Amino acid sequence: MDMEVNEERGTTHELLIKKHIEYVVNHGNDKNDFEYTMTEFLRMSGIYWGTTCLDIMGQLDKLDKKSIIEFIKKCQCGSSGGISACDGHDPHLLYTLSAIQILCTYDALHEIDIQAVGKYVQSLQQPDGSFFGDKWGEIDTRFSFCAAAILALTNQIHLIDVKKATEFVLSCANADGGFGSKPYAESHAGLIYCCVGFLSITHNLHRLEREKLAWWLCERQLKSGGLNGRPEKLPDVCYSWWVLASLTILGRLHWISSEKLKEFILLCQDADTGGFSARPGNMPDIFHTLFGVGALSLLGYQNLKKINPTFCMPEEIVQKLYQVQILES
Amino acid sequence: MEAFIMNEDKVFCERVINELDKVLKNSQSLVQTFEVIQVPFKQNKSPIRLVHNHLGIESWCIRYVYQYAHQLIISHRKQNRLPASIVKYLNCAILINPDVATFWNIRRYLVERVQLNLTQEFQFSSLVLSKKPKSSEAFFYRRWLYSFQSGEAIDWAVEISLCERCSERKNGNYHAWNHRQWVLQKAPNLLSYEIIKTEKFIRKNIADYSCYHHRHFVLSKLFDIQYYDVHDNNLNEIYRFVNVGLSDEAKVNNLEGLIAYLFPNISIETINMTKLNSLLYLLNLIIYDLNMIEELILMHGKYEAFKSYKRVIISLALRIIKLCTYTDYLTIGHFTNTTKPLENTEIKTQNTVIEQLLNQLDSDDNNYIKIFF
Ligand SMILES: [Zn+2]
Repeated sequence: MDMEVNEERGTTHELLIKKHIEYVVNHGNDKNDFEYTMTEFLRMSGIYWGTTCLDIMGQLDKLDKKSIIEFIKKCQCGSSGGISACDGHDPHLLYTLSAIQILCTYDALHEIDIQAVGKYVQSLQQPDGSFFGDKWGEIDTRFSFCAAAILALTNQIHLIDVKKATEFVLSCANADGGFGSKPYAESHAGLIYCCVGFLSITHNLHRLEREKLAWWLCERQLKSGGLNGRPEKLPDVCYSWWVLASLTILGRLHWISSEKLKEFILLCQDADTGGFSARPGNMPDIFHTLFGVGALSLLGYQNLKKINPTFCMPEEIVQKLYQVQILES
Repeated sequence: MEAFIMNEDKVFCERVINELDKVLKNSQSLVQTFEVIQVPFKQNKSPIRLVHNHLGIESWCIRYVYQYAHQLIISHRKQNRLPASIVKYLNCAILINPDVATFWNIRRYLVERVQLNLTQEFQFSSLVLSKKPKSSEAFFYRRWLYSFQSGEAIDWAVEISLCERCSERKNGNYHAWNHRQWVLQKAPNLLSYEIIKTEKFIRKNIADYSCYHHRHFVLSKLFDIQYYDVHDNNLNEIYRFVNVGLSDEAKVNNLEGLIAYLFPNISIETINMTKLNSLLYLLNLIIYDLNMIEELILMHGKYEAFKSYKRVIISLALRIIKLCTYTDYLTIGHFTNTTKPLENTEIKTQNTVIEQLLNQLDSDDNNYIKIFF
């Protein structure tokens, strides 16, 4: 399923960097806002999206580092070691990863108890190699990625059974070459990114059906140039990231049309407020703004820092911390 | 921030939350759906509405009521004070914003302390799904709730119906289909009913690929449990398929002939009949599906879902034919030829059925065949 892209008056083929910086910096300024309360449950990820996006645009110093680090410190749970999305919420692997990513960006890992984070991740691994997202027991390949990423960035990957974790991730592969959230679940570009990312961190990419998976990923590109996340779904900017990052890791970025995708992504900018939306004409949000900018960085857009496809963080920061596996094209 | 909420507003929010609580307490088992009714401006009557079995809240009041309930819950959570009376605030907050894991977790604490009962929690989570049919938190909560019940006491068919309703309301509902697969792994006896259900669903929602994927899951699982229809193992589709293009004398019309055609290396006396029946049942279904897709293409034109589904069921067919031809799967203990899997090219030239199956792929999908089959 695709969409008609109508180029309206005022649409642009340029990246509106100034506008996007403004958008990210002003995001969440009104803390009494209803929307702000509604999204509190993922605040930590929101901050990660914002800081990473600004850093890629070379403007990280526009946010207050000190208050962000104070915020993260308040979110680490004293008993489990895990980190929550916001003070008063429960810890979860998803937000623990976001917090670690922000701290790496600020070179501030020492500000929290990293060993406790390691223990938390370790405690969530199951006998079959999979990971719970938190103590309540949901299993998902997203959590395998979070676990590996957290431990790689904090240099503690030895804490988990990587071999079993890999077997679990591979057990989620489908006949079409893709991956889902658990064994038998439908292939989904977001979850493929998590599984490919996991294998890139653990240096197990050779165990993938590389060509078949890359083929499936390329079929996500629609006539509009945009990418969808599954067959028959609409194109969406966030899938530009997930599909593109996976293809980059697989060394198959050149299998899709970069020009058409670039055009599609640029059409998703909001020329008035700044920010990117899922599709042209929709409301922008911080999530799609990072993934729009991140995808353009992968496509080699000028004036953007190079982004690491596995961690979705600036390459210069990842280089200092961990060596991921990327396949040659 | 609590201080910012005016006293007047507090009284109002408490009133709305209590009213919602009253409806849920008195008639939760009757209330089937919840929704936010778009009313942009304040009205001079209660924003809670109950019409027959449908509960609604007017949109204009949501920002006040949600912020109030949210703050109250989080401040309790911070002090680790979670009295059962917090439930009415949780009900309200979750119905408005089902994505907040921490709110669901508080319900879990209360269930563990037997301050909430399972039946009502099942009802509540299904009410949430009536508002947001793709709520992953609600499905996850239900899976967690089921861990408190013994398998024999559970009517899994009810859960399948819930998934079906949620999938009907939201195209490509990932969490609903995942949940359904979880149910079927708990209750494999329901797998065979999925054959008719998923065909109906596909014919009604031709562009919902999740259902095709689910049907593929069902087919593979049926093979795993060696299922076949004891009362009617009708193999008409296979006979028709293998007989295309054969001369009258060469036509296959009985089981011996079919086995000789499909597996020329295997003698019928050595075959495990249950495995054979389930294999033939599955092949028959796959060929049935290939015909169904052709029919759908004639009616609706080309869809990505058709192409993708054809690929996966043909590769499923190839996988099981390979398994039966080149391992001792069908003849355990008798077959001594080789268990080493052959190269794809070798298999292709040796098996006419595989050849015929590959011909079923669209001609414009030729590159895919060349590379991956
Ligand atoms: Zn999106």
